[in-house]
Amino acid sequence: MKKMLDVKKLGNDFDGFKTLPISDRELFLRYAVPCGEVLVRRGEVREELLRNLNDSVKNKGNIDYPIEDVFKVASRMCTIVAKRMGKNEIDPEVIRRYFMVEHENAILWRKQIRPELKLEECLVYPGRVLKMGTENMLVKTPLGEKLYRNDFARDLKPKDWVSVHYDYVAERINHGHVVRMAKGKKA
Amino acid sequence: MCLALTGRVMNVTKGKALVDFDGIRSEANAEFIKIKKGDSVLVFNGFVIERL
Repeated sequence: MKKMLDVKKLGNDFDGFKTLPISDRELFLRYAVPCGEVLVRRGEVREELLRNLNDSVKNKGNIDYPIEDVFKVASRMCTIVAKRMGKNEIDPEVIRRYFMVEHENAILWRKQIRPELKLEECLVYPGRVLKMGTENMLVKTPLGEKLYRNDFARDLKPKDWVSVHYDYVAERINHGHVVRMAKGKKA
Repeated sequence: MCLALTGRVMNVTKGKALVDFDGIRSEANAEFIKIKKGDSVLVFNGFVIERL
């Protein structure tokens, strides 16, 4: 993958914010790539780059690209979450807390300032696999039944609990994750 | 990342910033970043995360 950004500057931007390292880059991308289509539509990320990152997760390839700079909001917010948890890296617990819990808090905060916008699709939801397909899988979430992309799905089967973000299944989750995400989300 | 909002810093005191979002002002945590009055910033869930 061609590098466009200077990795040496990673996380140490002109505004003094120091992004912590991401220890599980694949998990981070499983949740961040679905948001990436918003960035492509805004012209902030090239479609080709997003496709390459998607393929890296799909094929379990090396993820040495500076994804912290591509998904700056997510990596910086994960840094804040990690620091508040007393951690010095963005580990799986931090990643899941950011995408599963902090997104919900962010919507509540944003509604105080811009109540007119509906942003429920930005949230990560728990769901149960109903049917597996070759490119998609049918998943039942609090939003209803919908086909989600299979890109990141491995070894899943009907009745498995999964997390979904936009059009993607992010990962298989456990009961604790389901309870945490379901809290506050009305079916 | 679609949940972040841009605003302008009105003042900064002890790690907290008063940010104006097109007429709506809200306090934000600014302890992780170097900002000053007049800066355009990106705010997520009450945290200033980037100086634009």
